[in-house]
Amino acid sequence: MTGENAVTTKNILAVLILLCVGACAGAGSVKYRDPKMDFGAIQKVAVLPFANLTKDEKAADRVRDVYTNMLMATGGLYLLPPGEVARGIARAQPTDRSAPSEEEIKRLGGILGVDAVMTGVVKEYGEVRSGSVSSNLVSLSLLMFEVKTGKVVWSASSTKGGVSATDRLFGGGGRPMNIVTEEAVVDLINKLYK
Amino acid sequence: MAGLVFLSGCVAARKDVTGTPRTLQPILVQSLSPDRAAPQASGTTSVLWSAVSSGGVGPHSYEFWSFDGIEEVGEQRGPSPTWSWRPARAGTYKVKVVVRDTIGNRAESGWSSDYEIKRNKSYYSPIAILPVENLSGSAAPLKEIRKSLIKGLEEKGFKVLEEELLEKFMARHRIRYIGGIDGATAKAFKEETGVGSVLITSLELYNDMTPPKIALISRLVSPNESPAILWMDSVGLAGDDAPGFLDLGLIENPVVLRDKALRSLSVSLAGSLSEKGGRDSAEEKRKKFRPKITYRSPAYNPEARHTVAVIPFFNESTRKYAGEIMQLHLVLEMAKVENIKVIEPGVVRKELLALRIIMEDGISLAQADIAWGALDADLLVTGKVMDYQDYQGTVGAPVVDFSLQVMERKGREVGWSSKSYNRGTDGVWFFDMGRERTASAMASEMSRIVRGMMWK
Repeated sequence: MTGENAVTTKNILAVLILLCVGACAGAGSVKYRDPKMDFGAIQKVAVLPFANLTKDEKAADRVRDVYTNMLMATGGLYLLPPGEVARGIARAQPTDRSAPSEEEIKRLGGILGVDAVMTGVVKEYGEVRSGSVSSNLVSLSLLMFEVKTGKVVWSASSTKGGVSATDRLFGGGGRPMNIVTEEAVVDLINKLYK
Repeated sequence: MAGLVFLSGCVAARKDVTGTPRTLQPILVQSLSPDRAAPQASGTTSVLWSAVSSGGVGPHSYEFWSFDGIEEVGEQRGPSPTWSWRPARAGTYKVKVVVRDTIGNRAESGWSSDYEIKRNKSYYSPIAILPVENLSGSAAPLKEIRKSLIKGLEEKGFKVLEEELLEKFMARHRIRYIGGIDGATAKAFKEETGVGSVLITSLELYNDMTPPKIALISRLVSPNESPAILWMDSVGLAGDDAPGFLDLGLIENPVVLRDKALRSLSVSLAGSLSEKGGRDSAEEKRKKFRPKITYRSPAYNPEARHTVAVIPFFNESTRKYAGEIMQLHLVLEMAKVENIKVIEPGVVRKELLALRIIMEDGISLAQADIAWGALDADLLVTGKVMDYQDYQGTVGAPVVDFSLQVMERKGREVGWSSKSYNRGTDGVWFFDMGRERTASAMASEMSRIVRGMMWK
């Protein structure tokens, strides 16, 4: 190998490493949409409390609060107030309120008078560190069930924030948690409507 | 004077059974009159304006307008020919009505003659000053705060109810809750002690570490069966709010800061009850405190007259009493809206307790139905506080994060929903300019902007 070729290979490797490092931040985006489902028929939705897989006790409530407000603000769907959803859960008594079974979805939907029920899981919420750099990260996935059949008609996940290549190169403490949460929620809402 | 009649000039016409057009009586306003002669006291008396109209085609709709010398305000629109008016501010008003028939013909009464609404200190005196409610979650010199408050009000010319009379009354009625007043207690206050109003004060924050911090919310309530909020204000101060050149403006003594805060409340109360009356002067909107997410139902009509009950917010934060504090900030802002009657929080609390409404994650529609009926409200304001943090010392920033929902009785739906969150350092780039040092000051500003957007 000549000296010139060695330099070129090193450059390519450096670029690849940088791309890999960059890809670590804000990665992750999966979506499923039932092709047979008429989403236009869904008018009223109940968003159940999210499951929390993070260390922050309030993470699920915080993310759900942003999600319900933002989804409502689109004007495309009407969301039941959280107190009404809690009443439905108390009456339907699902085994796991953040992951109800098909039958439980039907029962809950009947009590609340909604067309669809949404559940969610907050997988990551808070600060992540990479070397000396730290940044906020949110990762969540959502499911939408049609009440009539109790089947999943839509699901998506989103991860936003994290340590980016820019953060690594130039430092910086990342963006506030609320902003990152909003980004993830906007991403999910876009996936719901597109 | 009311009753000035103006004809729109339009002549309604429709066809009879033979198809021949026939002329009907033109629509006209025959009279517009109040049920009470001027002057009346603000905040307490409801004046019923009645319009009589004739002619036109089909049923009429009525649009009532008021004019306070500065702006014309559409007060009520609908099929009702009467309008119950309860002006919160003193001033000289004029009123008119616009009547429309089903095919759009229009008639208008002229502006009525001047209708004077008065406020004076003697009307609301003597004032019963309740012990200060401690929502700060920490020990605080409540007795000293109350004493300073009484002194400040007396200096401003207010007559305060004697201590002995107040204590006897509170013991006789076994009053333990001092954060509000229900209708029965308010009425008894008037009958047994002859008070003109009751002052309820809540201490939101007290921190005597240097620089000290204090936040208070105070309101004056009328002593009758349905207590009305006559005045309400809040103050949130930190010793280092305005340190100035070489820290000459720094306040290190908590007593000095406390007196400054109490003086601010006394001045506000005196200004509000002066003959001139007070307007909501702090209308400057700071964009950074706008809610980040908002939703308004198409069915929600902000111009209609509403009776609003603000329920304590669901507290998800680590701050004790954050739900009650946010409730008070919202009550304060909503009490400023002309076409809104805010139910005294003490009345709301009593009804919720009597109905044994225990909220899990917020109020359900079934509970809201009961509350609407019991409180005779048509809007319920509820929400969640996710963060309500103050900080000690000089380094740090307060954080306020809350979401709010307005539930409408008419459609049993959410009419307004918003989410607001801010840090005290938001939008601060140079030399701490624009930095907020107490969560109270920030919550007050955020609530003001939400209220402005809700009733725009």
